[in-house]
Amino acid sequence: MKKIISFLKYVIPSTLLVLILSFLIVTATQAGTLSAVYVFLSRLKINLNGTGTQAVEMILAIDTSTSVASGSTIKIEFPDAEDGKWCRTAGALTVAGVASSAVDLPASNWTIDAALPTTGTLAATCTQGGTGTVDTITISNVGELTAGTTYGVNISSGTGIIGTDSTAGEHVLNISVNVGGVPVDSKSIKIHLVNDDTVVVTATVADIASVFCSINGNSVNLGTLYPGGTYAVGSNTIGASTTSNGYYWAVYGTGDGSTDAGLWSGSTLIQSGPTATLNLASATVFGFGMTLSDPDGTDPATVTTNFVDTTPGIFGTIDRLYSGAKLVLYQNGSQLSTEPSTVTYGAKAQPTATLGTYTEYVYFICGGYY
Amino acid sequence: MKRRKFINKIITMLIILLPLSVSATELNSPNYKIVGVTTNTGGVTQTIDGDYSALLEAGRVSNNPRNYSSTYKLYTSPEEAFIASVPSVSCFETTTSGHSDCTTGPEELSSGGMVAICGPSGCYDRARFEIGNSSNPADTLYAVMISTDNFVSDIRYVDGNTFWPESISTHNLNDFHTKTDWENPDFNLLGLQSSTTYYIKIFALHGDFTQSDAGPAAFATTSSGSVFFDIDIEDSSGISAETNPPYGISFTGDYRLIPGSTPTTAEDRIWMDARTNSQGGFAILTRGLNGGLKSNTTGQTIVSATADLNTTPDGFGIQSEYINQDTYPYLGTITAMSDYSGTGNSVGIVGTSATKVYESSKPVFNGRMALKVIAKAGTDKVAAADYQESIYFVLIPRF
Repeated sequence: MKKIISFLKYVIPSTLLVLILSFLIVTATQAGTLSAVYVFLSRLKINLNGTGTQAVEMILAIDTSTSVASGSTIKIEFPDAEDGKWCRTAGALTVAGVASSAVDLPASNWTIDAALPTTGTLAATCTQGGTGTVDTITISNVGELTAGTTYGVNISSGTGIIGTDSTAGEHVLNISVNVGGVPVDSKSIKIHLVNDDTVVVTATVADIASVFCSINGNSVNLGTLYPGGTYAVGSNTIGASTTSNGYYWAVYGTGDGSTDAGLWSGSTLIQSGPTATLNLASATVFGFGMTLSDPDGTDPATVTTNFVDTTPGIFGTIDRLYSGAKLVLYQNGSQLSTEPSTVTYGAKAQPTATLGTYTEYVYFICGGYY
Repeated sequence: MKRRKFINKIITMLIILLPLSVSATELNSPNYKIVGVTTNTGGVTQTIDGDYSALLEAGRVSNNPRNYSSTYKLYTSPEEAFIASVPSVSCFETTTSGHSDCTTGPEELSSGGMVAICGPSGCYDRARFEIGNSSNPADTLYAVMISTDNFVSDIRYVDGNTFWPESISTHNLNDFHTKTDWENPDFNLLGLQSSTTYYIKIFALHGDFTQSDAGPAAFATTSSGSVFFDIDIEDSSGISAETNPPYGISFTGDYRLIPGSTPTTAEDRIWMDARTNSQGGFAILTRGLNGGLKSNTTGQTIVSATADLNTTPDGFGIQSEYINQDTYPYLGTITAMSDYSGTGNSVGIVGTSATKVYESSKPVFNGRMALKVIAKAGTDKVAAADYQESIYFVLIPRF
């Protein structure tokens, strides 16, 4: 008996020594490298304080290189020089597993396969760094992790507040899975903070598109026409503005009510004629027509070719009825202020014209391009 | 007396522990045999050596200065003739740029270095080495030892299947490959830590009991990883424009929104720079504060949605207009997600939840992208000058 006790006095300490040495050998084993990881920060702007519109949350996707038994912790460690920036306030965070994220890369290791498993209830804390320590987010009560499976977890502020560092550029984050406080798998990754991650889009919504049209002078007197004599002119003005993409003017007449537009006395028609234009300066040409002045020099307002007023005596002819309306002026582009155009009417009575009062009703149609 | 007892106790413990220390010593067997080896040429007939001449001929002249002079020389043990020649590391690279000492890897590596196959700043979790075979035959097998402290306390091997570092305890014959098999993968060291200096040594084996000594160590340091992201605002010609925050896009003046009118494209574009060496590439995501252009005056919102604004009465969104990156065939290219790659007035949503706009599945050099912002106000929208949305952009690298 005495021999056994004496023997045990040596064997037990020796066994303990062997066990301690074995433990040291095991714990000296190098940690593995995470197979895949990303940290999906909701904001990349520097110096966010983590509150209100400056709130920061993140999704961590992680795949270990070896399977890890239930009970591990996951740590996200921030650079030592940035203490207090990432963990703006120490305390518990809100944490929940997620089965997917918008960052996932299909058919790759960077796609979340499953929500981070839990043993009990997942918990996360934010601890601020100090001398020799760093800001750290620690997720605990992690369930068994299978190598080759990418797990996702969402972390947002609770009593602990997540912010961002105050310096733009690269920042190193160390992600690790720990068993008994010892990292068994880890990887250092980088994120890039920017001075501003926001583009502010501002818009003015104008009133609904409209067009404003005006005719200044609804009655134009051409004076007295002498059969076979010279041509007479008279004018009024029209104006348009629009918030749409442009405007147009079109005209048509009534004439004798059956054959053509033109000045009609009830028995004689000084017709506008079948040709596109009339050169009333010519001794042998008679009829009725009109021209319009260009409302601007550089704007896109355009008088159609037959109605330009650049050559004295030449007038564009009009046709009868709405179906015969002719485009006389248009603009491709909005026109916020009214721009006028002078309409000049020209008429010359043929030698056979009878005495009387001649009238033509010229209808103006104005509209917008929307 | 007590001291003597203590000494006896220590001696007894050491005796118990002794088997632990000697168990690692390899013992020869009297029945071993050597197979599958070759010998070097150059043996000479030594008639005076009698029965042992054959063995002496197979031996090598000793390099030990104590074993030879101008008048005599000694041969080493005959066993030395069967040991494979000590191999060397002909290249071990992680971050080379513009050049490479590696010769059997992909063409991009030979011409551009490791940055051409790993991206900006090189490789952060992988490396390539090649073997100097020291005239060993082609079927010679090699094993690789790896360490982060030049083999002081961290001594591991490279797993011949996964190419990741493994512990000594799992190292076995499956971790021996020919030079060709080691060098066939573009990356034959995986699972490395970033910003870490690794040392490797290589052993050769050509038949049982012929493993050579380790060759000289070579070292390389992995990259710390790299990622860059930037936003600029400029018109459609701003391919190389660099602008500072705050970043703004406006629909005012000639670009104001007119209810019921056709969609309007803002004059400026949202330009972005992106580059990274993350092996999973990157994703650029967007999210809006309001989910559309919101007016505090009218309380109305021109809601953002993925849609063709030509056929919807009202809407707001973004559309990719420009994508480019440096051409590295081995690396990745940037693509716009389908919602954002439309034409005409088809736009992708800027909702309150993040959605992916651009993506690369591999590292990218000098990526540049541009987004149009297009909006259309419906006839129900009341005029106001304070319609606004804050669009957030993030670039997430996948390491």
